[in-house]
Amino acid sequence: MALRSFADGALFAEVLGEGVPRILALHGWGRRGADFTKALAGLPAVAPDLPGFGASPAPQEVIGAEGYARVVERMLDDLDAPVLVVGHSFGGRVAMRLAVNHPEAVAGIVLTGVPLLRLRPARRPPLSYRLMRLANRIGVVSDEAMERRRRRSGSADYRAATGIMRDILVKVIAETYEAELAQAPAPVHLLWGGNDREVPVEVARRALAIREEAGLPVSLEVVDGVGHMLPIEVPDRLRAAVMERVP
Amino acid sequence: MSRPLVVFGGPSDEHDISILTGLQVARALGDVDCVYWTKSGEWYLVDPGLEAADFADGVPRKARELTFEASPGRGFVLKKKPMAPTAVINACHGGPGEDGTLQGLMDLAGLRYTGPGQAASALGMDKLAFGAAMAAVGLPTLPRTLVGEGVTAPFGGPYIVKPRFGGSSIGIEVVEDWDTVVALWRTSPFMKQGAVVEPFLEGSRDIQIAVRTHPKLELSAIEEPIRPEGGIYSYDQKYLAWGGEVSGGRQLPAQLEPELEARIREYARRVASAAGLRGVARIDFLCQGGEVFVNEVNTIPGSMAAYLWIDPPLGRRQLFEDMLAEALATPARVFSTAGSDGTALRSAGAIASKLG
Repeated sequence: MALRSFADGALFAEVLGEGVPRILALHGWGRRGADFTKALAGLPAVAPDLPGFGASPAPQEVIGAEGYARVVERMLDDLDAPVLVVGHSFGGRVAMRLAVNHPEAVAGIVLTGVPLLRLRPARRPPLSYRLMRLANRIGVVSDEAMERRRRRSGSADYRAATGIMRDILVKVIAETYEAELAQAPAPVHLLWGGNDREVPVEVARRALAIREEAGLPVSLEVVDGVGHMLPIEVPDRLRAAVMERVP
Repeated sequence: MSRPLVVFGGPSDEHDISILTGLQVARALGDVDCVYWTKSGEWYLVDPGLEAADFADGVPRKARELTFEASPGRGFVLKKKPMAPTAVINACHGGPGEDGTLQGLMDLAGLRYTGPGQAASALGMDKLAFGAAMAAVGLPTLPRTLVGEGVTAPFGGPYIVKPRFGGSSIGIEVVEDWDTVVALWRTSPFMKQGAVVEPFLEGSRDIQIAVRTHPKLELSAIEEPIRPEGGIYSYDQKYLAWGGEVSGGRQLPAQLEPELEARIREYARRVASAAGLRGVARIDFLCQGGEVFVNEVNTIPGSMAAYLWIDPPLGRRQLFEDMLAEALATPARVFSTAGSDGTALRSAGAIASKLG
């Protein structure tokens, strides 16, 4: 429950349980490591605040999940690798990059509510928005007016993000993880909320198909009546899935 | 016509919650002017009938821009004309609205206002100075030290690290070891102006009580907010789940041993006097076993801590009216120029002779 610093102060993390951690839990966008306090209580786990969230300082430059994985990998020396990596939402994207970059350090992966791929092609912003953006670039529309428009049309995450975190959000939203799914050798368990409206179960089903096609170990478990915040809504379900797989 | 003026918002982490307090006060009091202070520091005269959501995207429509002039008889100025309020009800939380900056400006403009004056406001917002002042008058406090380069662990962990300045629980963290304390102080954007550290009391209870100073010094019921498992409150828990101040888990009135309750009440009175509180303030204590420590003071608490006045019962309107009455009864600050009667100037001779 108390924080410890890792990676020369780049990361602050909740260290749970006793002994050298064998579980690494990565939280979602706009959340923090404490999301896992209940689910992983007493287990040898560490749940960092990812850069730009909670106590951890924001990255100096615009990075995506790959950049986040490069920061998180600096913790690996302090863990009892290979570890079980738990990823919720955005944290699951980081988990997949970590598993591809460091197959030797990742024994297994539990993903919940992770936007791994897009169900339909990204929509272009409406023409009026694009025109306004152009007008803003050439100085005809003020930055304040542009910001008001952005706030009106942006997602809640976008509106809440400030400074470099907003650029990072734009970057990570554009990413998809089909390649990582077809590559990471560690077994992947997809634990999904049946009512997840942010990242519907269909995403998990397609991820499952990609893994199966690539001949890689994968399983899917859908928890009915649960939404996107599964680690908080039903911490016991996440705990059970973790305990079955912890190395 | 001259009437009271409610000011809220401001460049602060608690900008949004201040709007809620300001609108509550305006609605309860009725005939008032409302000044919205933006996140970037501009002033606007706004319709007191607006709803909170009207501020969600910044300055509401039909707002009229004001200036603030820090000269006697000026203050809030609309189209070159001072608004001349009977008194200002300061509903700003955190930042320059609570830390003495706005109070200093209003002093210079000769305005009367609710809440403590400039010096007491600044003291309430500086955790290091406040803790030291309370210790100096013999009130029980936890050891609280400034974190800095080369500072070694003054006591054992776990620690609670807090931004030295600031009112909300934003940036407060519980950490295990001294290295983490220092790392956090180096990197946290909330601790750029300094950080203080004190021992984290495992299993301690938070105890809060409000105090008001008019028509006489009075204490509210005592509440015990219920902490999340093993942690401290975050800004989210304190504020974002607005159903307001009543949404967080709490026990009100707190179940306390009569002796402990009596001690807390006595300490609260002494804090009110030692910290120069005025208007309505909330004092936070930490309790562990039979021990009580003065923790922090909030000189302009959210919703003016109106929900705490259940015993004796006191309506919001009465609470705000009493604050206003106190401000009206308190003359604007007068600065002394005694001893500067020109004698020293007349006998001084040429400045050039002083430089040689």
